[in-house]
Amino acid sequence: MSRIGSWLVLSFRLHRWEALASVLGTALLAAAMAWFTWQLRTLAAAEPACLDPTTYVVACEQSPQAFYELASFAEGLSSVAWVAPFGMGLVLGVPLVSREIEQRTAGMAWALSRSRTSWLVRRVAFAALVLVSLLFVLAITSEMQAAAQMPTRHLDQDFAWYGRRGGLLVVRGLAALGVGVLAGALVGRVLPALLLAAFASVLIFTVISLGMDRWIEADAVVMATGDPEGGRYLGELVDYGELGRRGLSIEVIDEEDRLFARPEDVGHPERMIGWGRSLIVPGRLYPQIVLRESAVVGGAAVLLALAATFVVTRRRPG
Amino acid sequence: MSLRAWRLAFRMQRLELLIFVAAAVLVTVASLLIAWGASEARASFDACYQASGTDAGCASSPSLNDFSMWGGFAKLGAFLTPFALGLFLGVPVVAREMEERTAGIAWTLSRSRSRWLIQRVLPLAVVVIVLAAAVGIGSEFVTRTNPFAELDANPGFADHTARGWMLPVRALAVLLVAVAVGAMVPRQLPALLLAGAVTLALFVGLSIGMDAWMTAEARPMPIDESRFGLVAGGPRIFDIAYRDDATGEVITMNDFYNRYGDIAFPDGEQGPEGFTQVAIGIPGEEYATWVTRESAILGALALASGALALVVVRRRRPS
Repeated sequence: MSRIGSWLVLSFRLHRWEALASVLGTALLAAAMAWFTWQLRTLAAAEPACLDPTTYVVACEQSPQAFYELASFAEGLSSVAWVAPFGMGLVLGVPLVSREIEQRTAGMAWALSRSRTSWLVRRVAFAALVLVSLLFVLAITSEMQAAAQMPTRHLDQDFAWYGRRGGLLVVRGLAALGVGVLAGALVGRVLPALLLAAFASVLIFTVISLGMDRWIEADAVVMATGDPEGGRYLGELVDYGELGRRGLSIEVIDEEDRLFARPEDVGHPERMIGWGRSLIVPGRLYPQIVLRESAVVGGAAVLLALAATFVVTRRRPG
Repeated sequence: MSLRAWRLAFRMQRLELLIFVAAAVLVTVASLLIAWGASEARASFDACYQASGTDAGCASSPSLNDFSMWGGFAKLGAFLTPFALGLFLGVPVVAREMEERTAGIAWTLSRSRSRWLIQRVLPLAVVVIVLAAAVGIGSEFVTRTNPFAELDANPGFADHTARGWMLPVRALAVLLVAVAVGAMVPRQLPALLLAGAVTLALFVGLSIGMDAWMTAEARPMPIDESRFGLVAGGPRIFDIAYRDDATGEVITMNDFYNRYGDIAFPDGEQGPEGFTQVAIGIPGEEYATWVTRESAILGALALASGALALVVVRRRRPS
C-alpha cells in the first residue's frame, strides 16, 4: 500500500466514528436539501408567473401558498447547514490530540513519529480533508436549495441566507476544526475539551461577526426603510432606542417614514425634520464581503492551527 | 453512600463539573441581574407613562428592548442547560471507564456492578438537579419581569421549556438516557453524538405528543386584548376561532373562511357581525397540571433509562 493509502487507512481507523457520523449527517442533510430543491423547482416550473413578487396574478391563489409552505421547511434545513460547520469542525477536531492524551497513547505516538509537528499535520490533514469534502457538498446543495427557494432573486449578489450557503460554510468549518484541535491539545480530555471548544467557538464567531458588521458599515448606503432588495440590513438610522434617548416616541414617524419633532406635528409635512431611513449594504457587494469574511475566518483558522502546533510541541504527553 | 464515594464521583469528572458550575453560576447571576434591571426599568417607564400619558421621554438606559434581548439570551441558555448537563455528565460515567480500559478494575473492586453504577450516578444526579434548578429559578425571574408582558403574578405557559422546575426534571431524564447510551457505546464522543440524537428524537416526540394532548383538551377562551397579547395570564393558544353569538358554535378560522368566504368581513371591521373572536387553548392557570403530566412522562423515561443502564452494565464485558 502506498504511503498516502496507509496514511488514509490509519487516520480513518483512528477517527472512524467521528468521520462516519459526519458523513452520515452530511448525507442526510444533503439528501433532504436536494429533495426540497427538486420539489420547489417542480412547483415553480408549473406556474412560473405566480412566484414573481412584483406582479399580482388573479389565477395564482393556491400555487404560491404550497410553494411558500415548502420553502419555510427548507429554511429550517438551511439553519442546520449554518450550524453544521461548527458541529463537524468540533467533532472532528477535538479528539485528534485529546483522545491520544486521555488514553495515554500520545507519548508512544509522538515518540514513533519524526516530530510532533509532522504527527499533528498528518492527523489534522485527514480531518481537514474529510471536513472540506463534506462541507463542499453542503455548500453546493445549500446554494442550490436557496436558488430554488428564491427563484426570482440573483443570489450571487444577494445577502439572503448569508452564512447558510456557499463557500463560507467550508471556511467556518476549518476555523472550528482549529478551535477543536487547540482546545483538545490544551485540555487533554475529550468531553471537557469539547465543552470548552463549543464555548470558545461561540465567543470567537460572535466577535468576528460583530467585527465584520462594523467593518462593512463603511460600505453601507442610506436607503428607504423596507425591503433592501438583496442588501444586508445593518439597522435603522433612527431606531427606537435613539428616539428614546432623544426623548421622542415612535409616534413621531408617520406611515411614509417622515420624522417629526413632536407627535402633534405628524400630518403637517412642512414641520418634518427628516426621514426614517435604514443602513443597507448593497447586494452587489455580496461576493466582496464573503471574500473578506473568508479571509478573516481563514486567518483565524491558521492562527489556531499554529497555536495548536505550539501547544502539542510543548506539552507533556499525559 | 459514603463520603468517599461522593468525593470519588466528583473527582472522576472534575473538569466537566468545574465548567458546568462556572457556567451555571454565570447564567443564574446574569439572569437575576437582567430580571432586576428589567423590573427597575419597567417600573420607571410605567411611572413616567402614567404621569405624562405618553411614552415620549420615558425611555430608560439600557432600554426595555435591550433587557428583552438579554433576557432572550438568558432563556436560550436556560433551555440548553438540561441537555448540556445531562449529556456531558451522563455519557462518560460508563463510556470513559470502558474507553480507558479501567472498567474491569472498577467493577472488580466494587461489591457489585449495580452498586458501582448507583454510586457513580447518584452524586451526578444531585449536581445536575441543583445546577438546573438554580438556572431554572434565575430564568423564572427573567420571564416574570419580561418588560413587554404582564407575567409577574402568573406567567402561565410563557417560556415553559426554559424556566422553573421543568429544567431539573429534563436534566435528570437526559442524564439517565446519556448514562444508558454511554453504557452501550464504549467510546465517549460517538456515545455523546448518539445520546444527543436519541435525546433530540425523544424530546421532539414528547413535544409533539404533548401538543396533541393539549390540543385535544384545548377550549375556547374569550379574547381580552390587553396591553400585551390576546389573552392575559400566559395561556397556551393553538388556534383562533369565531363563536356564533346566537348558537354558541365555535368555528375555526379556516372553517369559517371555507364556509362564508371573505364576504363575511366588512372593511375596517375586526370580525364578522354576529360572531365573537375567541382563542382556542389552555388557560395559564393549568400550567402546573400540564407540567406535572410532562414531568411524570419524563420521570418514567428516566426510570426506564436508569434500569436499561443497570441491565447493560451488569451484562456487558468490561471493554
